[in-house]
Amino acid sequence: MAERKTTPYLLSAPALLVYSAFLAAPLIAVTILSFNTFTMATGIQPGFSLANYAEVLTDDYFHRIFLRTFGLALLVAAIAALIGTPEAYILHRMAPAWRSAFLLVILGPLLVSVLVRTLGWAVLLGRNGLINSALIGIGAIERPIEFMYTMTGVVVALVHVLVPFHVLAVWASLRRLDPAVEAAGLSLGASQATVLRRIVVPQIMPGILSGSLIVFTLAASAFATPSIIGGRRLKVVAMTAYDEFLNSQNWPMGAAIAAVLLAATLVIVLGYNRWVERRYAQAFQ
Amino acid sequence: MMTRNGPWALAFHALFVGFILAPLIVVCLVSFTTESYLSLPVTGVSLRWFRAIAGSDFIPAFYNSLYVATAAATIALALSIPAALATARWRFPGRDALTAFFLSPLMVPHIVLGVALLKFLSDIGLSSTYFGLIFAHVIIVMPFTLRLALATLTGLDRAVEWAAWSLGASHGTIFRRVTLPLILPGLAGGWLLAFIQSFDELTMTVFVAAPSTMTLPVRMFNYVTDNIDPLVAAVSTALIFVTILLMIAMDRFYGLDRLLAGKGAR
Amino acid sequence: MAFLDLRGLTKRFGGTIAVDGLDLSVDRGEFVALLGPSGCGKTTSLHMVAGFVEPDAGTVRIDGRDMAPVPPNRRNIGVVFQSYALFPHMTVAENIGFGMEMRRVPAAERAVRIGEALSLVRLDGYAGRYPRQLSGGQQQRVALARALVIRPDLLLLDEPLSNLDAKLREEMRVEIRLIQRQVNITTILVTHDQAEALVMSDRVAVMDRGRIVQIDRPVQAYDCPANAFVSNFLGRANLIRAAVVNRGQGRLCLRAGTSEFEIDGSTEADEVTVSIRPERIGFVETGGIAARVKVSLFMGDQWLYRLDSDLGGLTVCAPNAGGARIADGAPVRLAWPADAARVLNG
Ligand SMILES: Nc1ncnc2c1ncn2[C@@H]1O[C@H](COP(=O)(O)OP(=O)(O)OP(=O)(O)O)[C@@H](O)[C@H]1O
Ligand SMILES: [Mg+2]
Repeated sequence: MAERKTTPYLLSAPALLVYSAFLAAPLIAVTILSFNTFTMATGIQPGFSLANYAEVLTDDYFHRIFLRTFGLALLVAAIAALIGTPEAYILHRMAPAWRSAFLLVILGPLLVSVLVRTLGWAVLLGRNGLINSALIGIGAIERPIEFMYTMTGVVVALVHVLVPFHVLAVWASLRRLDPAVEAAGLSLGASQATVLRRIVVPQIMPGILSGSLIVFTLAASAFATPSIIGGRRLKVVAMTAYDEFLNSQNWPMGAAIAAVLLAATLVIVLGYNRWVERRYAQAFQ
Repeated sequence: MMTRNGPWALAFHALFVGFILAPLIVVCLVSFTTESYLSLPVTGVSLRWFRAIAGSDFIPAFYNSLYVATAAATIALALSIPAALATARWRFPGRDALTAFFLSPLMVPHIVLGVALLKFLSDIGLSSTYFGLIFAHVIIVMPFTLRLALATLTGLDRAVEWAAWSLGASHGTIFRRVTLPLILPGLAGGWLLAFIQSFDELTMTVFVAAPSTMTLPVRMFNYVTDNIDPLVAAVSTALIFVTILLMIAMDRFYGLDRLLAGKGAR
Repeated sequence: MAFLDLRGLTKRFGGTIAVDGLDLSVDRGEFVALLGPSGCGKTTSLHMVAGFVEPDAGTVRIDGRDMAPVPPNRRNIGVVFQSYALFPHMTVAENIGFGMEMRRVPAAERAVRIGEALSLVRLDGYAGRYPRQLSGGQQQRVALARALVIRPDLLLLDEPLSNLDAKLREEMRVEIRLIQRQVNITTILVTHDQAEALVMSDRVAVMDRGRIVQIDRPVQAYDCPANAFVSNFLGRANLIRAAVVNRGQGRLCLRAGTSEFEIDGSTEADEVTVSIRPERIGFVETGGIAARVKVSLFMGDQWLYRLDSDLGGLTVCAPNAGGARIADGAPVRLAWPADAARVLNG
């Protein structure tokens, strides 16, 4: 429509204002905070010091936490891709009525509080939980296995919490797939497996890759599930920042940890996107 | 498709669905126990833990969550509509940067937003206020409302608005009588998604909420770090049922997969 | 002065020039068809007339008044969009009534006029339906009724029939033309269907790459195409490149290959392109030009022959008079009246 040039700016101004106040300003404030120092005796001291970053980047304690966090995220993303991709394809091949019902079942839990889902795993995985009772009941084990406060437990629960994101991403790219292309492959004499490998997978690869990225980044910053299932012994980055802020009251250190997490996440997301785009630029516009 | 899933695929599917549903079903089952510890209701079914919710401090936390989520989703939607109009309808310098900025909260881990807002809100004296908490949630949910508003607006045939224009309608009338009714389902879906996101948000809220403004997820988190008992399972069961109802509503409005497509992608 | 007057209308989209200095005058009550291939700028021109798109240069005048400062909602122009653009959330009656509502026509009068409009487009009894409950042809007629009922000064139709099946399209051509005569409304019809343009309009404006290359009455435009583009676009044409052997008294003697033939016309050039309509060429026993049938296509009411000849490839239409078709590969002789061929400019 023929209108003045300022109109779009006026229309976005309210949102821009709120974003400046409640997103940009806090992120700047916390960045500044991360350069402050803290001691038990004096509290937070203003000033510019790289001490917090030096500690986060050199201390073994933090190395272990960051390694654990990103290793956990990688494992969760890999498992989610391994089980989420075939599930999305199975959904894709279902009759429409079944498909929409199962989409609801599989994607619906995304809308159920993470806490509730984690709680379910706590009930299932506990010493006297259902899994142990069942395993003892059928005589597979004699004494309960410890799942709570183990990496296995955290991985299982996080995969459960995040795998719907992967299914969703792959499902979205499957929906763009022209069904006639698969039929064409079959009509040209390819077996079902060949069609899958040579025709379907290459086309949904962007969906698989973006789904993995989403799961990875969400797992790397996950808080509730590792806290409840992993506990203090298996600290991840988010819990560490939480403890620095709300238990030790060392805000500058917590801010530095958060800043490193944010920077690492952004580097991974943007680098990954660049890589995917370069790889798939020609094939997908 | 003419080809159907084979038996192995269906077996895998059954396992997958079982995996997805198991923890939710288990939570529901244990909440009906007659015992005072977590156990499957083998001896008998009772509603004692649901009755126990009434007197607990989960109730005020639930109301807090309700207020905050309603306000945050509504404000986010109100901000999203004009912003979406601007980016969908005009080509202007800075347009892409603006869209990226509005969607950027999706890229920032909630833990980072939490610490940033804790620091910032206490600096400006807004910590432990509803105002600060609500706007913190607006930032978190606005990418969802904006995305759905954008999707519905770009899906709209411009000619329909032009038809109204040529028939004599002013800009205001076009928006009220034509554009708004046509994008309303998308907006409603976006509002519901934002509401649920805000209602369930824990990681950021842990930092921003004070005892007086504590939301239900924060209350539950603090509770389960001490002990997990049938009371919190009963609260969870209630939440699951409310979510199912909202989900069915959203599916009616917009289609759940289309709606959630905005949730995952970054 | 003409009722609608477009002068030097120009619109660019980024690097591409969609409309390039378009001039057009339309008299009151006249029906003009804007005809041209896809992407030549027809829709953009129409949208500039309606006011949806602002021209980069040029003026739109209606009844002598410059439209530049007038927004679309004050132009009183009825528009039928290619996509119909019905309001999906309103019933047929509400769609048709919308324009009158904007003009604050009292409800009682509105109801009467909605009823009249519905009978005009033969949709009585459909008032309560929603657009999605109508067929494509019915939707198109609702769009027409919605545009007509506001008694616009000008009616713009953007390929209104392109989504209809062949039979309904022919019916609607006649119907729209009758309605237009009945209410005597100045109309521009955009189409890329030459038959539609020829059947419906008082004058045909042929567009090519953002400009009008010829505007004439249908018979004139068809019989005397201004250039090769028009002759090819308006119906089928045989374009023959020939050398001028002899000239004088409005007659030319031409040679192509080893054949010589005479036509009406005059030119300064030594070489010309002439256009001959396939239906003007006939088969003769003796004389004429030798040719050989390459392939024959059955079109129902006629046969279409593709032939090789001295003049190059030729197309000939012959009415299906019940006789046997000429076999592929058969030698034939062709002839045409001297006034059948047109010398094209440029
Ligand atoms: N909004 C736009 N942005 C960029 N280019 C445009 C836009 N609208 C039209 N164009 C370009 O302008 C040219 C003319 O377009 P227009 O729609 O007027 O053609 P048309 O004659 O109506 O074609 P058709 O018969 O296919 O409808 C085309 O090359 C088109 O690509
Ligand atoms: Mg067009």
